[in-house]
Amino acid sequence: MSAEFFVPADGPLNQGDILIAPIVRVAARNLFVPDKWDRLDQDEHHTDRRAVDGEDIFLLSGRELVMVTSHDCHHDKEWNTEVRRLIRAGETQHDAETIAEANTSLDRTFHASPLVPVTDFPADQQGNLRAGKVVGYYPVPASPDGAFPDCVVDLTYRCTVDRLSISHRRWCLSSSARDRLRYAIAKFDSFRSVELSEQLESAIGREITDVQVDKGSGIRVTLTLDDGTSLDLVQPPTEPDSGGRTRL
Amino acid sequence: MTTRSRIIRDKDIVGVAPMSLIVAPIEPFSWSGTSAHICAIAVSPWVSETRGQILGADRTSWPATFTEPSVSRSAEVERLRDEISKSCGLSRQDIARAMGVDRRSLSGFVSGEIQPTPERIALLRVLADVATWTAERFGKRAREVLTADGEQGCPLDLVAAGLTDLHSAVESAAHAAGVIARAPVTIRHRKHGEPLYLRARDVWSGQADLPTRVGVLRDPEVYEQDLADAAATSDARGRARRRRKSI
Repeated sequence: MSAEFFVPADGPLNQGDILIAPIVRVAARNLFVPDKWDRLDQDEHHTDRRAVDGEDIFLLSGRELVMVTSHDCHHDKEWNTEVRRLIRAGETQHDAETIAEANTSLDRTFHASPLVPVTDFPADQQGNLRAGKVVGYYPVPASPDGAFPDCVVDLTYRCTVDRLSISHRRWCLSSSARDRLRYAIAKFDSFRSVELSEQLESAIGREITDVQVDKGSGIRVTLTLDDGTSLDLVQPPTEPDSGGRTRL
Repeated sequence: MTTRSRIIRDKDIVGVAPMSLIVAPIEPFSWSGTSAHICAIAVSPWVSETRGQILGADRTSWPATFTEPSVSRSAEVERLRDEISKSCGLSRQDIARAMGVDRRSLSGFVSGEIQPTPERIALLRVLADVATWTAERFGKRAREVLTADGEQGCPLDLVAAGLTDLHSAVESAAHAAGVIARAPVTIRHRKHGEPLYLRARDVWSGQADLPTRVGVLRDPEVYEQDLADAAATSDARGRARRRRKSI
């Protein structure tokens, strides 16, 4: 299974790359560490801010295997925009890239989530985690070269990483595995039920034979299709004005 | 090296190195700062390799033996000058100002053409200590702080006037310059489980592929939205409304 899941990583940074990077998260004063993150939280940082605002900051950091979760369109986005602008302004591509590289204000970060061994979770959760049934976790089989065991990418731990701080990249997700990663990220970040968009896609080309509006709530609409299936939709609430909502 | 004895007076500085008792500063310079603070300044140029325990200076009439430094004055001026420049970016003009001399005199001290008095060297030691403390506290804006005018005056001028306990003066100058102190950070290693990356690093040794450290020009189609072409809020709202109507 793992051979179909991974491909050797090469080229620029891509979504699904597995590499070694420093990670960090914000903690409370007691520096609480959940069991599943015991491997990740290797150093405790206490920033004494008495001279600034009196609110100290506590961090837990470490170095670990991570998976790149940023979409490919995020990587070097500002750098690419600047290079294209310079080329349009008459610079050669080489000069444009040199100028853009010297511009240290351009974002060179990406998002990553750490790999956590499935065995670091309670035994009664491991089956569902391996099956990808738990929102917020993306299962990854053991690497073909034995570098890491069965893991989940813990999407509940996400950090922003400078691409210059990474090391040791070896594997990337295959195309189909990356699609499943995107599905897991979308499900975790935005839509608990991505199935709705799949239902809509499957309804393309069919005819609507009936429309029922829930008069009680006024926001639920049921569409009946010519094949007998139905789609339950919810009208989105009205957006506030650009100046903010002035009344309910 | 010569060894002399003298009586330590109130506010004199006393430090204990592993093998000897060291007294500073050289007469007749008078110190008025806190004991640990001043002792660090006075002792460090002489016994930089030692880790002596600092004793309190608020004791009187201690007989003691101390050792004069063997390092030449010009060499010490040069070393301190470079340390100060490196730690907080003060220019040679700034450093000369804190020593109460002009820039050419400072150059003369370094070249050996002019012999600096012990008082001048002591001022430079004070400045080195203040510069280090300010750099730790204010980072890259240390020079801005040291050259600003606080309620008590500019820290450089206060050094030149012989003051040694300048923390409050520096804080005041920072406040006047609108510079906020950098918060000190404490880092502690915690006992933790074995990270996965250790094994991966060994297995991948020699075969890992790192992406280039410079930016990579990608197909414009990769980018969903060019920042330069980002739609204004009003247009985006218009599109959203049209979509709702079509549903």
